[in-house]
Amino acid sequence: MSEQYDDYLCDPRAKPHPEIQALERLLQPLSANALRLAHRPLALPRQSTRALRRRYFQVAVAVAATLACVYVAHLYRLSWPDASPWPASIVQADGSIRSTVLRVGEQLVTGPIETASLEAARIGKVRLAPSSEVRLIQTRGGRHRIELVNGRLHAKIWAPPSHFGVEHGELRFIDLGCEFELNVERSGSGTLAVTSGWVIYGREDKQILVPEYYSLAFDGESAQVPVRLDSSSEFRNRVDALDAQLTLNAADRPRVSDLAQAIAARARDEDYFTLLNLLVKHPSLAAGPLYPRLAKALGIERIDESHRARWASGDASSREEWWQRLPKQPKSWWLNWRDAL
Amino acid sequence: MNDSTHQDVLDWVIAAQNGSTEAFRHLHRRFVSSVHGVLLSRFRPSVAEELTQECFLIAFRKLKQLRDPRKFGPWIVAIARRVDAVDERHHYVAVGSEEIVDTHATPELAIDAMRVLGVIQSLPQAYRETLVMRLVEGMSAFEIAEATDLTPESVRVNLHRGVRKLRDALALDLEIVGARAHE
Repeated sequence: MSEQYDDYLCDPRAKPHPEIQALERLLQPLSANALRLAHRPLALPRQSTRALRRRYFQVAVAVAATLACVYVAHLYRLSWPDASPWPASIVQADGSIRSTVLRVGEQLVTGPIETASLEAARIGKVRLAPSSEVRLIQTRGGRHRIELVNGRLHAKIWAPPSHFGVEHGELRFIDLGCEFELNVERSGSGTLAVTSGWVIYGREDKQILVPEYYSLAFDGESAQVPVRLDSSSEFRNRVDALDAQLTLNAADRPRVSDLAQAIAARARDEDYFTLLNLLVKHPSLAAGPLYPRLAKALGIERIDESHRARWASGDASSREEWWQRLPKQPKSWWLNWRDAL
Repeated sequence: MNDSTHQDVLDWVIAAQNGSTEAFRHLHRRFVSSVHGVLLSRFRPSVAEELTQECFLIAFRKLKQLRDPRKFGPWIVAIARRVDAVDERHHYVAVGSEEIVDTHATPELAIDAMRVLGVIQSLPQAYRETLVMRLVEGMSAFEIAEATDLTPESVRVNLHRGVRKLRDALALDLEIVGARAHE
């Protein structure tokens, strides 16, 4: 076979070989090209629309099934048989882990070098620090209450508001779907530090909301103004001092003015909740520098003097207007979904 | 034979799998010769013509089953190999067939063409497919290799052996056929 024959047999673009070309001339009238098959309309079934509809339907069914599963899992997660005990594990001094359960009315006490972990029904976990003491008060779907008699606990809960709460004497700490650390002494004093979501501190008819990254110091009688976890001790001391001055019947006016000035000068925008609490607790402060500082932190460019006057007179609607401008509202508990992990 | 790139084919297959009929029409234009070639190596020309359309309709319906969109060519060729005519008589062109293909210049040439095609169809599958794709559809060895998932070297071997067997089977000097084709 010649090279030309070989080339042309394998590639019709090569130099033609007469023998192969003769066969081509004879046969190519039968080809798809000669019959113009490529140009004939292809009667495709109307499958594309139907297939598309079927796909949309399949996707819709899959989404609905997923949502249904998530909903059922959510309901299961929130449900809990009445008074069913909580599983607990205690890490003992020698490092061994002892599994146990905590029943309603029972107490769990950790030694000086022991820690404990409690399953808060199915909605979260509670970790107990050394030398702490908790009691399970009540547990059922939608309401779980423990008492922290003494010591420190860390709770990580993902559930709708008020499903979980911690009590200590007259004090109540109601979870709004969050992660927090609570430290109490038998005397009734202690601190609450919130790292995610919101917690309500309550005593008798008084309530204080504490948002994430804020802490609240309290004693058996009262609570201070919430401050950021990363606030300087100088800032905290000034806030506490101002609060204390205004709680007195005869406040030292020059001292109050100096403290308010210093707080306004040192406050960062993220301290908005401290400023708001000071102004809500002591409306007369609206006349001073804290009001414009809070306005700036909330992005309010122009001071409305009538609003300021209403605030100073104790008008609740003026507070509500600025409350609505807070960067994060306490009702969106489900946004803190990471706490469920 | 076709200016479309591998990427074009890949894009068309993916679009067609997502329901684009326009993309599938591009695939039809791109692969109609190889499908027709495979069918013409087994069926009478008029049947191959009908079954070519049928193959593409089957491919359209089953397109979701194609896992590797890059293999659309070999996949549809495999469909063409499996497709069957309803009537046994549609298989193979009998030597001496009087089926006339009206694209030929003269009835004599049409008869010669059907005779050669009949001989090609009597050869083993590997030879008859490559011969039809090359001699009828005008595809190169490289294009045949892509369509059939063979190596170009295997196609080259099949072409050489196929032409030799064709020459032996026809038992005539191909130049005579060529001379008539020139007339």
